[in-house]
Parts: sequence; C-alpha cells; structure tokens
Amino acid sequence: MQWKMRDIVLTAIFSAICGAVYLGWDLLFKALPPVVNPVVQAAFNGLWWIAAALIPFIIRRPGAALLAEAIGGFMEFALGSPYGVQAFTIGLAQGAAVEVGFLLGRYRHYNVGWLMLASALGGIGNYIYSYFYYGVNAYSSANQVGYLVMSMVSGAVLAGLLSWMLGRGLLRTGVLANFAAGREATASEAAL
Amino acid sequence: MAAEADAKPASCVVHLADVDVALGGRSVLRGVNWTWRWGESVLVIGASGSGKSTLAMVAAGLLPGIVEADVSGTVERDPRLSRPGAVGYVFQDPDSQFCQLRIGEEVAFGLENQSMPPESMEQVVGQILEETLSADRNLEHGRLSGGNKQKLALACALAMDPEILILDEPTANLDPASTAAVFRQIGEMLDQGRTLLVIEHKFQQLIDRIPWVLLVDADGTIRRFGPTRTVLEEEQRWLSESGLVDDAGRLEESPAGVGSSDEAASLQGVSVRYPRQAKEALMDVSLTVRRGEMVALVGPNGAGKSTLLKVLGGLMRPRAGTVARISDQIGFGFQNPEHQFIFERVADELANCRIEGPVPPAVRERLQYFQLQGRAGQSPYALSQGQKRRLSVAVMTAGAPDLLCLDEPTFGQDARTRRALMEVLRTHQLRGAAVVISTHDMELVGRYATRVVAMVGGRIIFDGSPDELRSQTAVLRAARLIPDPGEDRLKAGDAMPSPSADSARTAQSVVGRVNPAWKLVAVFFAVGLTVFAHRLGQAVPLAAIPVILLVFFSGLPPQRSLGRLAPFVLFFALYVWTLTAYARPVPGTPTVHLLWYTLSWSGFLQGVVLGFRMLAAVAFGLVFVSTVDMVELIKSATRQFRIPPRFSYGTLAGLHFFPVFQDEWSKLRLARRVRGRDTKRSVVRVVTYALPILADAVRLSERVAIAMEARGFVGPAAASPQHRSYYRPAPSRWQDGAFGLILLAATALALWH
Repeated sequence: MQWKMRDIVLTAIFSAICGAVYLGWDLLFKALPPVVNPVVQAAFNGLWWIAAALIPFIIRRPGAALLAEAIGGFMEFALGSPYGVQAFTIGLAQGAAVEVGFLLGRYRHYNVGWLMLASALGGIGNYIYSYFYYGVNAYSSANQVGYLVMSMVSGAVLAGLLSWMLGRGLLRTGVLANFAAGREATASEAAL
Repeated sequence: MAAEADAKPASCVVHLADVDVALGGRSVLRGVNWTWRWGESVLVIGASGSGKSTLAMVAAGLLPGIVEADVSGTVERDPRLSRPGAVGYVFQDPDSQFCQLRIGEEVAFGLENQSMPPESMEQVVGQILEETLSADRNLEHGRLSGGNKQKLALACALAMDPEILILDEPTANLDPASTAAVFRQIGEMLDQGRTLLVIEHKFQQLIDRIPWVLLVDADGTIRRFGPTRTVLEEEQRWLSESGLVDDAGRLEESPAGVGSSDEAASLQGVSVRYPRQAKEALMDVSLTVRRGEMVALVGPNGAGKSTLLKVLGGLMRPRAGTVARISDQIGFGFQNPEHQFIFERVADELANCRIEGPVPPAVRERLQYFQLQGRAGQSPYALSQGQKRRLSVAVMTAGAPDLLCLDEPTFGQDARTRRALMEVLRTHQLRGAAVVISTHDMELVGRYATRVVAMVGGRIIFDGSPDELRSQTAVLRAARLIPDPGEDRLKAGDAMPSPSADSARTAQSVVGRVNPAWKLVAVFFAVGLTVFAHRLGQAVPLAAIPVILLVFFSGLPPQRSLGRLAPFVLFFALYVWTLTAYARPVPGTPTVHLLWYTLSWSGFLQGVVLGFRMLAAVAFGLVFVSTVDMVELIKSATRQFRIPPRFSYGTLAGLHFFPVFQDEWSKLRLARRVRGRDTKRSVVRVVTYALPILADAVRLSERVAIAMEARGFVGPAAASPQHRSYYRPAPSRWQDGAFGLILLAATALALWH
C-alpha cells in the first residue's frame, strides 16, 4: 500500500490534465442557459471529481482520491477558473467524500460497482460544500433533495463509470504494467 | 565470452556473474557475465529492445529497486557507488528528466538531495552552469533547445560529483548540430579521465573516442566485450545482420517519367501564425510538390517543418496565401504514431472499422504485408515502437493517396525498421504519389530524397537536390545539419529570454514578498470566512479587501488586474438569477410571476450577497496566483507544513508537464480530423480519444519518477523535509504572520462591524 514515486508523479500529471478538463467544464457549464433548473444543472456535476475515481483506479493507494482532487482543483483554480479559489476548496470536499468510498472498501475494491459507489458519495461532498458556499441552502427543500440525488447519479456515471471505461482502455494498452491496476489485472488473468 | 571471474570486485565498478533479468515476467537479459573496471569507458551497442538500457540500470543500481525486476545471479557494485549522486545518469528523452522549472533549481535539486548547505550550492550551481551552458540560472528549462536540455542533464549529473556517468542514447532526439555538441562534451569528459558508459545508435562518431565496446545481442545476451576498434572490425557481419549498420548502397535513380511534371500540391505565398505567438511560423512560403517526388524537409526544431506539412496536408488553413491540391486523397503521418490510432485492436485499425467476427482476408493480407501477423487482436498501444510505426503507415497509406505527408517518420527507429519504412514510402513514390517527409537524418535524405527543402525560421532557405545541398556549407550550418563552430554555447542575446517584467514586479510587491506557504493559509482562511456573510453590508466590504490587494498591492498594473476580474461580471449575473428564481421566498417578500418562474425580492438580495461572496473568493484567488511562484510555494510548503518531499516535489514534477499535454491535445484533434472521425460519435469515442494522451502521461510519470530517483531523491532526502537542504529557501519572517493577522482582522471587521 506504500506510495511509489511513480504513483505520486502520475497523480500529479493526471490531476493536472483533469484540472484543465474541469476548467473547460466550468466554462461550458456557465454557457448553459440560466433558465435551466438547478436540479437539471446538477446533472453536470459528476465530471468535476473524475480525478478522484480515475487515479485511485490506477494506483490504488490510500489518500489517492483526496490528493488527486486537491491537485486537480488547484490546477483548475490556477488556470483561471471562474470559481476562483473555491475550485480548489470544493475539490477537497468532493475528493474527501470519494475517499470515504474507497476507505469503506478498505482500499481493496476497485471494480466498476465500487468506483460508481465511491463517486456517488462525491455528490454528497459536493452538496455539503455547495450548501454553505454556493447558496444551495437557500433553495426550496424539493430543489435541495433533487440537487443532492442528481449530483450523486451524475458522479456515479460521469466520474465512476467513465473512469472505469478509461481505466479499462488504459489496461488494454499495457502501459499500466508497473502500477497496481496493471499488476492486479495480470494476477487475476493468471489465476483464471 | 570469457567470464573474467578472477577480477577483484574492489578494482571494478560493477561485476556481473550469470545475471538474468526479467521485467514484468518477460526475460530481458540472459546469462550476463561482465566486469567493468574503473577507468574503462564503454560504448554499448545493440538492437532496439535488446536490453541495453536494462543493463545500464543494473550497473547504476536503479534495478532492481527503483525499477521492479526479477534479477538472479551475482551483482557486485563498488561501495563508492551507493552515495546519492555517485552515478550520473542522462536519459534519452530530454524533457522527462527534469522536475523543477528553472535551470539553477534543476542543478540544485541533486545537491539538495545530498543535503549540501545552501551557501555552497550557490557557488556550485554557478560554476557548473558557467562551464556547461553559460546561461542565466533563472532561465526556464522549457525554453532550452533539445541539445541544451541534454547539456543541462549532464550539468545536473556533474554537479553531484559522480564517480561514473551513464548516458542512455543522449542524442536520440537531437538534430545533427546538437548531436555533435553533445559528442564534443562526451569527449571533454573522457579527457578529464572520467569513467563513462554510453549507449548510442549513432556510434560511428564515437568509436575513435571510447576505448571499450560492449555488444548486446537481440536475445539479451552479451556478444562481445573488448577494445572498440578490434571488436568492431571483427564483428562487421554481426553488426549488419543485427540491423545496427545500414550498409545498403545508393538507390538506383527512380525511373524517369512517372508523371514527374504533374503538380500534386502547391503553396503560394503562405503565412501561418499560431494564436498567442508573436512570430509567424511560416512566412511567405511558396512550394510546389510533384507526383513521383520524395521531398525531404530539413532544418532545426521550430523552423516550421511540421507547420508546412500540416498546411500541405490540408490540416491547417494558412492566414495568407493559397493552397492548391490535385486530389483529396491525402495521407498524413504524425510524429507520434499513437496519434493515428482510433480503435482498440490492430485489425480494426487496418479495416478502419470495428470488425465483428473473423478477420477478413483483405485485412489479413495487409497484416502480412506490414509484418503484423499474429497481432490482429492486440491493442495498437501494446505494440513495439517499430510495429506501431508500421501500423501507422499502414493506416495512412490505406486508400493509395496521391499525397503523403509524414512528420519525422523514422524518429526513434533502428536502422532496419527505418529501411523497411522508407521502402514502403518508395513504393508509393514510384506508383506516382508525392511523398513529403520531415527529418533530421541526413543519411536518409542522401539515399531516398529526390529533393531537399531546408527551412529556418519559417522560411525556405534552400530547395534543390541532396547533392547540391552537400556543397552549401552556409545552408547546412544555418539549418543545423552540421555544427556551427561559433555556436557551441548559448549566445547571450538570443537564447536567453529576459525574465518578464511582470514577474519581477509582482515578486517585489507587498503581497509578493509574503512567504508563499503562509500566504496560502491566510487566503484559505479568509475565503473560508466568506460563508458568514449574509447581508450586503458584510459582503461588499468583504469583496473589497482582495480587490484592493489585487489592484494596489500585487504589483500588477491596475488595468490588468481589473481586466482579469472582468469576466466575473457575467457569472455575478448568473448567481443573482439562480437565487432570484430558485431560492425559497421568505414569507411576506414581494414576488413576481414571470412565465413559470416565481421571482422573489428576498432571493434577489441573497443572490447579490452570494455574488459578492464569490467575487471575494475569485479576487483572493487572483491575488494569490498572480503573486506566487510555483517552485517557491512547493518548497516552502514542504518546510513549513512538514510535507514529505516525495509528495510535494513529485507533484511539482508532474505539474510542470502541463503545457506538454496542451500541445498534445491540439495535435490529437488534428490527427482525428485526418481520419474523419471527430468527437461527436458517442461516449465510447471519448475513451479512445483520451487514450493516447493518458497512455503518454502514464509513461511520462514512470520516466520522470525514475529520473528523480536516479538523481538521489531516495531514502531520507525524499521521505522527510528535515533530511534535505533547500536551494534559495523562501524566508519565513514576522512580516508573514503580520500579513496573515491583518488580512484575517480585516475580514473579521468586514463581517462583524
């Protein structure tokens, strides 16, 4: 379970790439016509914590989700996100919540189901942060519940399922051979 | 070979007896017996994939350990090699061996790992840089040429006072002039009596300088070790059979009259400028390419070769000038073959669609032709370098195009693959297609090209036959095809960009002088406190604090800082709208019904408050980002917050690659356009679209991590902030505390006045 140097560098590079994707997503989201209900808007949310699912899938280390989301959020902020430094702080909330998901799996489960579950928890982190800092506390109760549920579903799909698909693709390329995901895939193939 | 088992281990650098090495279950080196003595500089020669790098890493002590591997047999290394920095290692890829931003810091990174006191570092860094690059230590290494990056890598190794130096294909990515400069430096180090191990494909230029040679066979066994001259003379046959020397003679003239007067494509007065670049990439370029021609584009990196290819191939529209082509059948090959791949299996790539069921005979035939039989079901990424290149050429030549444009097709290929590849292109040339390639390889130009176009600085400086070019020394020098004696060192004027006036001004400003780590904490808390702003009377003064800091105390010109805030006006409006329409109305507040919305006055006020709170967060962020230096932030956070350096320095190393991937992304978009499949297809496409970038990122992470550890970033120096020293440490002073307190006091005052 020890972090290797390459795990750390991979986390940084992947998170930085995700940070750039987040920035693009920020701008796309802001271009969304404001007539759309916040519950519908919440369907966008999940992609903002894809780093917290994709990177743990590859390196499988404790703290990976939180670190990935911290770096990704910091990068999003540093590149000029319209959310300013909150891009970083909400990243911590989202990452910490996804981290809880992997912790519950005692850092042993990284199949598609577990990735989607952990990523859905990211929606709770997102809700808590937005409740205090993005005015969600002022929404009507129905809107709040809808916002929470939609964020979780969005997280499960846009962060969890998509990470799994990307991760599977990377496994097939063979470049992950020296990372935990690659080694476990080889081990389970050998066991068959 | 005779195992010199009687040698005393103490007198040798490394002694290997019956060593087998396997990487990930794949056997790489077999039964290696070799004794490397002090003072013996060795040239290592062998085909791609024969295990040369693995052998070098065993000698360096990087494997097993930093690189996981199964090693059996006896490996004895001189105890002197175990201190950090005792083995200087220069890797093939100039970009993936650095982990800081500026050249001074980069050299100092190794010294920090050795815990050298900061006072001595200044002197060592200055001296080494003076001897090697004679460049300013604040120059960002991203702005160096490939050749100078390799010199910097050498400087980093030399600064640590190494016992031995290992150079693993240091010139593979360099143009001929830079290669010559690196070889000259190798010569200097040999003169100083250093013990070197050099792996090199272009070994012809080194055989007079390096006294010993080690030949590695394709199956991972040692073929010979002995004096360079004798061994190479006796092993001529082995060298050519292994594809290490290309002994094919000049080709017979291509049959005349393959419609050689028919134009395939022509450019008239073409100019191209990339966004945010002051200089034009192409300046008023005119060029006509005819059928049956093999045109080679040569010139230094950044001369505009790739841009010209893109314009010619129709991937890019010029800003000015006209482009004419006789047909739309164009094949385009990118420098990185992976950019060409869009499917998950080799067979699908060749069929250009997903094959359900058995592989059709036509595809099987093509697999055979490109020597990819047995690979049909594999991922294109899992192929070897040579196979990837063959597949990418197979893909791009699929429709028998009339114009073929290839960006450095022989990059990173050994002599054998290179020849096979050029033969395929020649077949298309003789069929009547126009072939245009960019390359640094003058031998290849001499043998295959019917015409050479030399470019420098976005202009064509020569257009003629390879024979004519050979006699034009001035052109050869300008295009960096032969070394320029006066250009051995960086010229003070052009190669040393002055640090931007902005960064100097922001660094000297009030906010800029605060210790970056404590500044982050102060900003963090200030933004956290914004949650308590519920009324306009609180939110407006709160937002005023960072805006004032940004405009008056950050060192940025006031118009610029306001300009950076401008886009926020739109977002402000969005926050106001969202809460006006969706907030739970406070009982008794005036409401307006508009369409299906209930707009409330209380929601409007809440929205304005939220808008100011967000403005505060954004402005605090801008204050921080505009006045902080990434390297200083990482270093001072490491010291102040006791972060294990592995994590902080590892993050820094990863982040500085970010621009590389921005570049990759735009290349990839072009590559996808060539194959006529853009993103719009489906979600599955997103995955194949991202794959080349992510696969590249994974490989890069591994290389960077190994390079950092090879520079002594192991053990306590990597694990604990107290067990390393810091180059130019950012001081932490009472003023930092004062800044934090004043900032928090002002925030508190804004909230609770």
